[in-house]
Amino acid sequence: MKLFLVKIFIFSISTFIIYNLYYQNRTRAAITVDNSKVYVWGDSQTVQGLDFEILRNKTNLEFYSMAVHGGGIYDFACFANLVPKNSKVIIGYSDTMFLRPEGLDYNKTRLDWNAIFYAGLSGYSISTLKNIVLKNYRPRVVFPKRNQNLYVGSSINFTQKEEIKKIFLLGSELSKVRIKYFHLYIEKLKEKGCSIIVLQIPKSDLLYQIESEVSFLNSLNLVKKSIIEISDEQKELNLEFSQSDFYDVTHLNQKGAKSLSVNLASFLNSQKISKEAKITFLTPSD
Amino acid sequence: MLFNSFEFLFFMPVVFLLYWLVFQKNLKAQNVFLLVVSYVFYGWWDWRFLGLIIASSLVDYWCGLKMSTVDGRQSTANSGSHNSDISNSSLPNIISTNKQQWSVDRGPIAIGLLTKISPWFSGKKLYLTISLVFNLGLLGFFKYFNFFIESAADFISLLGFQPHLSTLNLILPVGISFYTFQTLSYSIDVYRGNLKATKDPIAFFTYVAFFPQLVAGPIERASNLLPQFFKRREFAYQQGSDGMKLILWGLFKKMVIADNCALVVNPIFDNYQTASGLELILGAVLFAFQIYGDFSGYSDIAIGVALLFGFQLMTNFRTPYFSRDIAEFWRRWHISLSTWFRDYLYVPLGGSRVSKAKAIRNIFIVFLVSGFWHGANWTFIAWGGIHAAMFIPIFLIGKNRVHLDEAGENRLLPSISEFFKILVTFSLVCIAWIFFRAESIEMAWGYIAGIATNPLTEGLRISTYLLSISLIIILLISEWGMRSMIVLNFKSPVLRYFSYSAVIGLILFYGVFFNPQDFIYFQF
Repeated sequence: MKLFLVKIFIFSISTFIIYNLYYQNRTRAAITVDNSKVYVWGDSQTVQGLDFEILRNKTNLEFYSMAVHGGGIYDFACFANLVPKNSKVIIGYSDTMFLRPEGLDYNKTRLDWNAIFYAGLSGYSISTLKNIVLKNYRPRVVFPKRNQNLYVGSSINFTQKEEIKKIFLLGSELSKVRIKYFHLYIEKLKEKGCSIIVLQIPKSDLLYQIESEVSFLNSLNLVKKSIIEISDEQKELNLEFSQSDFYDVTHLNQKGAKSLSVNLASFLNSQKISKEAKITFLTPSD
Repeated sequence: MLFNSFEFLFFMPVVFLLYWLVFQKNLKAQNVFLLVVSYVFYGWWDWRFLGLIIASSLVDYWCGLKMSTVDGRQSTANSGSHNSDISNSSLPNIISTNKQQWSVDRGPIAIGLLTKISPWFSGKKLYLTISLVFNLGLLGFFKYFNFFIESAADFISLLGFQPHLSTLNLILPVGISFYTFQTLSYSIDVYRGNLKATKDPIAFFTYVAFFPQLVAGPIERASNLLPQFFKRREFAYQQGSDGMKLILWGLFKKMVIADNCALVVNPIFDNYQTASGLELILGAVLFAFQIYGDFSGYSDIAIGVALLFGFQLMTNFRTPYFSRDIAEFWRRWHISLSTWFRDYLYVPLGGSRVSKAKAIRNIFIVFLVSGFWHGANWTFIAWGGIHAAMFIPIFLIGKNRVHLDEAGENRLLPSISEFFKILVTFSLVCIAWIFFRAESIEMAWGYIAGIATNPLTEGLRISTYLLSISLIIILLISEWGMRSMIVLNFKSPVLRYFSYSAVIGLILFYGVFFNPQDFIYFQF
């Protein structure tokens, strides 16, 4: 019995160590701190809302994006752990990342035990944690330089209203857990000496209307309020978006993304992103 | 709880350590512990259906006792404590060889209830009848009720009437086909006098609910498994090691072979009307490996887990796709079920020791019932019928017991003739699998017609199937190499550890972990 247990133990541990080494090696891309690098995270609103070609051309900065459709706060936690110390970071903030039902979250950035541990502490359910582990057991290359496919379209698809309403209703209970988890890793980024811009991605007026109809505007305000609370400063881009800038109720189209990116580039150029560790909450308009 | 689930990853080591480190010294404690963890294992899926297992166990335990009382066979010594039962119950003692009883009473299932109704309500037969009615009633209600209602409605419609029959929204309890057959084997064996009824309820209830094989077999005979609950288990290194190898190999077959095949098979069957001919052929072939990997993988894990607890379960699969004819295939595929039907249905019907016409009837009955056992759908019955039709010609020319050895025995490769036979047998099996996998008979015919009529390669992207095909080649080469030995049990330590690492690597890199497919046989 003893011999059996010892052998099983040794074999399991060595398998775990070897696989973990391989995994870490495979998933940790060569990330170096460089003044010209900016690390970006967000969900589909960011994927569709920022045009990195415009940003690169207008700022001469290199953008490394981990923004992904359905990006969940767990993905953000992994991002925060991966980002080198003293980096420049842009976090695309949208309401959906706090309200999307857990099953729709991407949560596939990588297997990060630290992020999983704190997700548990923040109140994520055991089944969510289990799914996160199962989704991430196989290594992926992170930090790709994305050439996104921007949505093409000129007007909001109004038929989505009911669908969006349903999704928001489903997820409305989750926001507090996610806010707690999000804050934790924003603070961790700050502790790492990162200069952080939390960029609020614009949303259509229709979304405001839906939010008021399903009466969880308060909880959304709570999210926004909590970000303001942890921010060191709040700035505006003075941008106004009309329906013609949106592909649907939550995503900008090519025109809207261009508008946001040009203005963000101007902001970055004017700010020269300070090396000071601070959190800036950047909104399109008041 | 699934064997390839996260929960089982925690459940298994905890149960294993408690079993051997805390409960090892006391047989009763071992059995009670196994019973509790078996109920937890099953209840994890839906605790409400535990009631069915307990009821089935209770009925058969009681019927067994009653039959032994009526028979007067229960000895005074045996009627004392449970330990007296244990001490006297080595395997040869428990299994009686009462051939006379066998021949007189052959046919508890097959002999028509209607023609011989009265003897079934007296003496031992009464209790056997209770057991049969209860277990088959349970199975019939949960598994076949809606099928019979729908089929009756279809039939009445054919006669031009408008039936108003309503079905019930029933959940099929996982493993019901397996544990009811297991308990039935006990009652029938006690009735026949082949097995002494046990007085130890814990041992009996644990035998019925034993978690490694509870939900998808192997369907253990009471005569094989029950006596093992009467002997205190002690850990044996070799047994544990063999168990781990089987678990590893079973996980490979399930998570790597079956689940990867499922990812490509499901879209083909869902779009069989538009898929190319070659894709349809690939779909049938890959499904053959999906179901093999799925079911034999489960059986390997079940046998391996049982070994870790000191129990030996029967072999359920012996490389069936290397069979050289259909008869050999059925000696190698789902052995626990085919031998169950042989012993409790085919032989009581008269087996092959009757006229040719009756023997053919018997073969058809066994295959059709076997098909129906798999599910309440005409497709399964058709599947059974096809196998019967393929088996009967071999039976009629007296060649059904030709291939009793291994293909390519003592040789590196099969002979050309053997290879050709294997290929033909596999192709026939694949055709039958189309009916098994299809949702309706019409779909199965449509699928087969599509192979011939759809454009052969239009829209075919072979890269979609390359991974599955490559993994199947690895499986076939490995199984060919290990066909006459315990899996991964190479003599050379270097080769052995290399094989462990390779299998673990394949599971880690190619296994389907997230949203894995349920075991196909759970639905049966």
